[in-house]
Amino acid sequence: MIDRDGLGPLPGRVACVAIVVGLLLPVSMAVAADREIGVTSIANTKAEGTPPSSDTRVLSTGTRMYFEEKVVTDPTGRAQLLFADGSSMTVGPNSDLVIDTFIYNPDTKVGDMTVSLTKGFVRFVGGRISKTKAVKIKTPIGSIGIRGGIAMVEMQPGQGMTADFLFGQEMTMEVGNDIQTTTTPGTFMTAATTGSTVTAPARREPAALNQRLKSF
Amino acid sequence: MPGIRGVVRNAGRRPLTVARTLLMLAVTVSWTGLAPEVHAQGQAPAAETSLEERYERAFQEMFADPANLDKAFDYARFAIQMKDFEGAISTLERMLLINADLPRVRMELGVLYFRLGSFEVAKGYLQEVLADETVPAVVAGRAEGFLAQIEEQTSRHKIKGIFFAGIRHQSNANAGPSTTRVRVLGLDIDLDSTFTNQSDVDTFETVRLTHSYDLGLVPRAEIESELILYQANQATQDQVDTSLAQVKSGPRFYADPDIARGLDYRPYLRWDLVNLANRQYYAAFGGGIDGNYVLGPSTRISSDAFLVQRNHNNTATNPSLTDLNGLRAGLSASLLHALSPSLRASGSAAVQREVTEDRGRRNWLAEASLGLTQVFSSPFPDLTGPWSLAGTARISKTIYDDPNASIDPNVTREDESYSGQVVAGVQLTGSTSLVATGIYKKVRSNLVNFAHDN
Repeated sequence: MIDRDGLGPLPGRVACVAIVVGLLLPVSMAVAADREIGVTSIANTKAEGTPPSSDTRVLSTGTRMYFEEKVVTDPTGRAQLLFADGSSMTVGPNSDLVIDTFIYNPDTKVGDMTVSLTKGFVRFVGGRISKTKAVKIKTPIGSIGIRGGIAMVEMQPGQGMTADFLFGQEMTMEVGNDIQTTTTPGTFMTAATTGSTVTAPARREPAALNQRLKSF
Repeated sequence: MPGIRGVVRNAGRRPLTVARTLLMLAVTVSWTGLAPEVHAQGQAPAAETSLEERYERAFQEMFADPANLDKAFDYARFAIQMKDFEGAISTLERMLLINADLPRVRMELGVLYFRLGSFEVAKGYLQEVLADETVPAVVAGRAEGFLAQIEEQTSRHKIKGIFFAGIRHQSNANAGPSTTRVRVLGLDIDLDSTFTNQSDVDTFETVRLTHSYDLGLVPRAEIESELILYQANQATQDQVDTSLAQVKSGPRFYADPDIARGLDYRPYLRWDLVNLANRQYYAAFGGGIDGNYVLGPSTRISSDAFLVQRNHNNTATNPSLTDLNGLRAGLSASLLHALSPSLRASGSAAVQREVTEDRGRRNWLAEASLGLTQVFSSPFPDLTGPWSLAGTARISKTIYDDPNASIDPNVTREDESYSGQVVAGVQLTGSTSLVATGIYKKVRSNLVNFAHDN
């Protein structure tokens, strides 16, 4: 029996569609995974990046960054990543992070950004996305949300996470159900473990703040 | 300025309502550590579209070729012009990752963090500039200047001030009735023409000083105190010469952002002293609570609630002033909304209750206003800062509890007031402006004694 569109009996058509879908899905996933989201604006030896569908390569100025890319720096490595919305992230030595989410519409200038910091230091300078939605930096302990500003986040396994708010609308730190927010530049919050509470925002002594800035 | 409006209302009951301003030319001077920055924010953006396009293009060029430092500097320059200080900061910090020995870049980073109000970070960069012995004297001097400003800004003590002085002409300086026939003891009598509306010129000065002391807490809390001084001297109608001193002080608390983001409030104590014709008219003491709530980057609500006890002194010419003794309570709210970077809208509403010893002078007052302020780029940018034009319309209604027997024992007074105000301002320097104001006010009353315009 041949049906009107000539694709043969129904079971054959299902198989045909399944093959087409089977061919399309990996392609579209590869497109998403290889989506360019930023660029390495500077890197010092040694910083490496691993896109989800490519091999690890040493980052250097001009290296394109991709969705879900993993970035690792060694004890002397540093890198600054510049994203399509104008955000930038300076990655300090001995750091390990993954760019989990980066969605940005240049026409509406809104989007969404999440980074997982397993260990190390980052200094985040907000671009367009953070003007309307908090950019989230997740750590094994909790997460930090940064709106319209500049913040420095440190995650050290066994020591906890610390976030310094340098400027902006607000910064939140969330561990479980505990959330603290600061809107005062020069303040910081910490959390020791996944079960601990977030410390109330406190002012960082100027000398200590500048010492931390020099970590980069 | 509520305090000054308060003076006007009180002066008006001696014996006729005095409406003050008609036309005035004034100079205002403000002093605060950040005055130039604050004024800069109010500047109307010139050729915004083309600048924004160049800024976007510069970003795309830098993004495509991040190794090109000229493109990076171009972008940083446009970012600063667009007030995208974060964009400029990330670009300049990258320069330091490339070469840490760039004192001029550190200098600019210090300035940018200063502009953002992140003073401690700014201080760190500027101190590094000064520590570099190779830095030219000009750069070092500039760094020292910013460090001095940072010291001022990070000081727990902050003082701000504004001085406003001018000359004013009024068509009805004594707020006298336009007719000579008025009501007294329930009868129509003819008033001497010298007591009807009289035009006059006066000079006036206002000083407002605000001091705050940061308690060093997170969320922020500070002791905020303000002193307001006002004086107006008529050329001929010196019976309405007015002076005022008002002091308010109390702790201002900034709410925990997890509970009420953008809210601050201050319970305060208040003391007023008002003189009329160089004699003490009344003194008042009380307190209240004021606050601000930032709804968003362009909208803010302010409110005030107060209660004061007023005590008058009788004089030989006015032996019944103590009839006005009593409580005054007020509740007001205002909303300020930026429609665009150069256009602001405002609205306010207020209710006030006076409980005087004389029931015939007890009253309720309700008032509302709407305003628009447009800021323009200066047509002479080398000579002046931005220009502004503001218009405000105001309406109020006052209803008294009982008739005032000395005027008409059978009529309970009701007044309605309408006014329109236009204010044109030119910023002469970072902290000095020239202001010209025109006001028209009309008061309707069911008692002819109080109906007037000015």
